[in-house]
Amino acid sequence: VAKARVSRSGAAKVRARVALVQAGILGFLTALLLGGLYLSATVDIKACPVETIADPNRGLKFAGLAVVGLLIGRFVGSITTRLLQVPFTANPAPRVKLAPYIQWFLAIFLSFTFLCLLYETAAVAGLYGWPPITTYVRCAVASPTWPVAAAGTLMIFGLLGNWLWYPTRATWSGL
Amino acid sequence: MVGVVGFVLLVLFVVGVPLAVTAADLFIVGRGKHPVGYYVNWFARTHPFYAGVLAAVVGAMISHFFLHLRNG
Repeated sequence: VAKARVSRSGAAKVRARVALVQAGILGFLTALLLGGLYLSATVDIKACPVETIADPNRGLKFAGLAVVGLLIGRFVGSITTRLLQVPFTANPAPRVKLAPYIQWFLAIFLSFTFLCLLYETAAVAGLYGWPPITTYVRCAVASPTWPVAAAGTLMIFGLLGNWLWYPTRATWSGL
Repeated sequence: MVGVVGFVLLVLFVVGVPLAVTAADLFIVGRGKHPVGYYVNWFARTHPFYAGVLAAVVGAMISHFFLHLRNG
């Protein structure tokens, strides 16, 4: 009984540490959101500096940063898995039941993504002279405030790497 | 031609969505459940074709956004 109590207490400590890291990421994302909104509202964005960018390799560096972010996300995922002692999904069930709030979140997220793609399609087709979403991303990368875009890229792709590239020992033949 | 509204919406979407998911992750782990990545990975294992398409989209996104900055 004493051993079980110590084990439960240890697990609670690990969970608290993981929660602390997640809270830190949450704080960083909140700062990024507020900083990004402030910059969007204040920086002069009439002239997109893509044509006059001094560093011709900045786009390549950002692409590399995105890949590094994916790798970091995967690495953090493997550490979290070990700390939380999450069982690997060796034999996934044929049907995954998600909590209703996760299902609603997914539905809203996919609907919003659909609207974004709809907008992108209209913009690329030249409808109403709307600029494509790509233009905004490229402007942010080429702007003098590119370190904010770099931090955002690293964080976003790190999270994507953690969520989409989660460690598992399952083999394809086991499906 | 770009606008302030477009930039604000971009920041809201690009940062806001991971923010919401991270908050949900914190909540889920706090309740003693598996993190979001566990469920996403589970889904990817049961739907490998969909997961493959999703990975291709992420790769295309990186290339489309960051490479060829000048020549569009």
